[in-house]
Amino acid sequence: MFWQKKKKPQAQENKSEQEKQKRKVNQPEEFALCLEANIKALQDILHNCSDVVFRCLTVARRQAYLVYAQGMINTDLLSKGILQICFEDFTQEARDLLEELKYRGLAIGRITQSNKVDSCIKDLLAGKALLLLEGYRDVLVLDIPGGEKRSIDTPQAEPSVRGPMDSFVEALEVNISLLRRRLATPDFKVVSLVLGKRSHTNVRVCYMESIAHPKLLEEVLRRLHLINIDALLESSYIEELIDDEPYSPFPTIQTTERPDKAVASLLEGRIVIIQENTSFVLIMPAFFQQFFQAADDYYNRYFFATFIRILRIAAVLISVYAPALYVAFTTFHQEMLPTSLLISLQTQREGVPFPAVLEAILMGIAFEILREGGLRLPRPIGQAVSIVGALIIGEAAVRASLVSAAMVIVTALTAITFFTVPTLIIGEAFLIIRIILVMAAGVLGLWGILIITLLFLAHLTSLRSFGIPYLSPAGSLINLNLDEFLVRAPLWAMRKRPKLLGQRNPTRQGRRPSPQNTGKK
Amino acid sequence: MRMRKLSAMVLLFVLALITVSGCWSRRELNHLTIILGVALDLKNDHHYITVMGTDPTQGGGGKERSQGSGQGSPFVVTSAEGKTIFEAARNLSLIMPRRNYWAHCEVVLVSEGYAREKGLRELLDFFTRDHERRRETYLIVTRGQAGEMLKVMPTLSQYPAREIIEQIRLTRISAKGLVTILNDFIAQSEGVTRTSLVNYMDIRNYGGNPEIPGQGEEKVQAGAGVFYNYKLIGLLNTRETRGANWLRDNIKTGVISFAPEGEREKNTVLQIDRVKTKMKPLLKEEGGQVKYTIEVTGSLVEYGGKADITKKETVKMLEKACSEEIEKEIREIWKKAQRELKTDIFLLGDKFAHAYPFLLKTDPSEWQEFFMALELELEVKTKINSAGVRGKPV
Repeated sequence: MFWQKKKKPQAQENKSEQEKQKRKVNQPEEFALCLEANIKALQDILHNCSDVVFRCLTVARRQAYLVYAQGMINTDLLSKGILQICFEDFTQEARDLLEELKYRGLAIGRITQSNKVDSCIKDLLAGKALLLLEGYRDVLVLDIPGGEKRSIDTPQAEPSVRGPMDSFVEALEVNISLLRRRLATPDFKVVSLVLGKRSHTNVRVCYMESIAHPKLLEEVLRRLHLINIDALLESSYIEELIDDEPYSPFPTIQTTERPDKAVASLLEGRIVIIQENTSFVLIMPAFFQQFFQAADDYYNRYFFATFIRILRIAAVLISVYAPALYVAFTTFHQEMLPTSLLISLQTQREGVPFPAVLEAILMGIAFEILREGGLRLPRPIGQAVSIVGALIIGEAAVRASLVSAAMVIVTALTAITFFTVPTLIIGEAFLIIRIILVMAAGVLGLWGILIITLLFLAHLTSLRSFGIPYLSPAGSLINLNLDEFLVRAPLWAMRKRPKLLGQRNPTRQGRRPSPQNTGKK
Repeated sequence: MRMRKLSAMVLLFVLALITVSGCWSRRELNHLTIILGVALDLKNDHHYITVMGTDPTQGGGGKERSQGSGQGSPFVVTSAEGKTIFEAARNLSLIMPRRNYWAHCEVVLVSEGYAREKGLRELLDFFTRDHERRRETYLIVTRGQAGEMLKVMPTLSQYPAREIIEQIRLTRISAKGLVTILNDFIAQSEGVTRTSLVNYMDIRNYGGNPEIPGQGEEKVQAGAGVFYNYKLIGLLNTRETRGANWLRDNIKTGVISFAPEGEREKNTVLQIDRVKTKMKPLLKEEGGQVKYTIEVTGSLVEYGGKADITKKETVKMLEKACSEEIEKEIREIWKKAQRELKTDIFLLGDKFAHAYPFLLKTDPSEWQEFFMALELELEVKTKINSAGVRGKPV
């Protein structure tokens, strides 16, 4: 059967394992006393790695080699911190030369000593410099990170009107510092991991020690350790690999590029995973309602934020149901429309050759094509796409009686409401439901819509994110705190953390600081 | 493995669902004509049905079509004959290329002759048994052929049927007509009185080109038809209809012309703002008595008298004259109902039965006799609370 697993790949895995073993035999495990031999060994391992620089020096009349990967270290620091020192006078050799260098190289953040070839190579390729000295088994590993980096920018995917304008970047240390600046407490912990068999990507697991549940942390770390993949190019790799529900269109892990959002999640007892080389961090566990919340909600006054939040949910419902309802009403339940509306729809549909279902599906697909087409193109051509789309789909298709004007309106409405979702990823899940709903509406009318809705509700209730119900807090009445769901409660009213997450330390804040008694009653 | 099997099965299930069901009872709008109104006539002792359906090829619904002729009207009127109403309706498909869609049929017109001879039982069964037709449909009796009414060119609406509906809905501002939907009609005809009043309409010719059918004609409200036991037994003119409406507590607003003291012409007009009707049925040994107290509040919109209207006495005098006028109107229709129609058109039977439940078992003919002997005690109080923005008359 086509869906059955093939047995072959396992044999291949074994083979590569053997190869690895074989290679290791040729490679020395530790550095030798002879510098030439060490350099030879390194060059053997790193042959054809033209970005690795081998630089010959003399330090205190001893031959030395500086080895680093080009573009990954701070050359300024290198020259100031180590090269200058190398040419200093080492006449009174009171101490060991290696020790001396370590103490003098103050400008360098971290200097370690190692004689393991394997780990040194890893460090070298992770952006550290190696200093090999004649007559020493140990090698100095200089941590002088540098190279080209993107500077901190405004959040592109989650812009806000009011709120901090910095967003995560690709550099891991910068990202951690963005969090640390907001959480100047030893409670904020950062666990370091290296994942990816070939990429050796740095990954950091952040949590608040006094809030996050230890079992949750344990589970996250367990799943991370299970990852066995070549390379992690984006945090979505981790997301997909440790996801609770791999067969669901709904995301159970949230992504963000806003540090403030990440910190807010940490303070609710969630865990944040930051991966090197991507500006999107992962927040887990994630619930359904989180995807409808924008950072702005918490920076605007709560009346307006509540209104917007409800509006957003209404818009999502419209986006999901509008085409399906249109199909159901115009092909099955004409009696449910007001007479004038029905007459108007009938007139518009006159001469349209396709049934309403097909019309809805075609228009939906046309819109998705336009969106996708506009997304990947360079900006000047992207405009051309939207012009063609607007003119041909919007105007000419109606004139030519290929689609009805009402269907164009429904499609446009669907598209606009679709964009009110603050996180596009859940919008993509709804897109799938929408298509299924349209088909069901075309087959069974409102019954079809009802059946699919029930199926999806059942599916949503069955989902878990790291063991916590996906629909919480709305899913169970026991742990109901509605102030996080439909309503954005005033800040002073949110005294407790979400019940399922922050049980360890449930109180967020004290009583509302009331203004001084002004005599008014 | 299990997941894969499951998803494959779900996929197959969905595919089967789509292909096997073949879109059950699907109706594309392109294959329908929406019936907005239907008229019933008698022809050679057969049911002769006339329907007014939409014609979307001619635009309508407020849409301008860029191509094609905008000349034609956006509706079609077609007739068919049959031994039963449903047969006649189905026979329409011999003439029309589109399936009739009845759920939006908002008005049913019945000709006077049909209503007198056949009664409405068949029609009501036709409308209430099938799920597609609604009980909220307006019922109207027409003078002459009912089908002709649907052929009268609409002037202020796109569809004749809709124009009729707007027209009868507007009777609330004159109180000279009434609105009866099928559901009300059935409820009233099944009540103690077996009597119902139905809006009555007529076609009036005002000239114009007689060669073009339907042109130069207009539809007019002409009072009400009196039904007893599902059959038409009499007619009321517009004045009488309003008289009946007073006692049926069916007046929201309207205008009353009356003559102030000392004047001969009815040159003063009161516009009713509010009516409060109190009704009390009483059973006595010698027969029944019904006690009405009607309080009318209104404003003066025309004044033809000479007396100073800013004086209290003048206002009192006007109020009295107006009350008398209303009372006269009511007494007239009361007399007609008791003497001529011999039918309880005010639905007092239901009110009596409400107060004295044993009356529910009364035989309709018994009640008719009782009604003819019923005594009316009437008190009309008028209050003028505004004389407009003018003091003295011109």
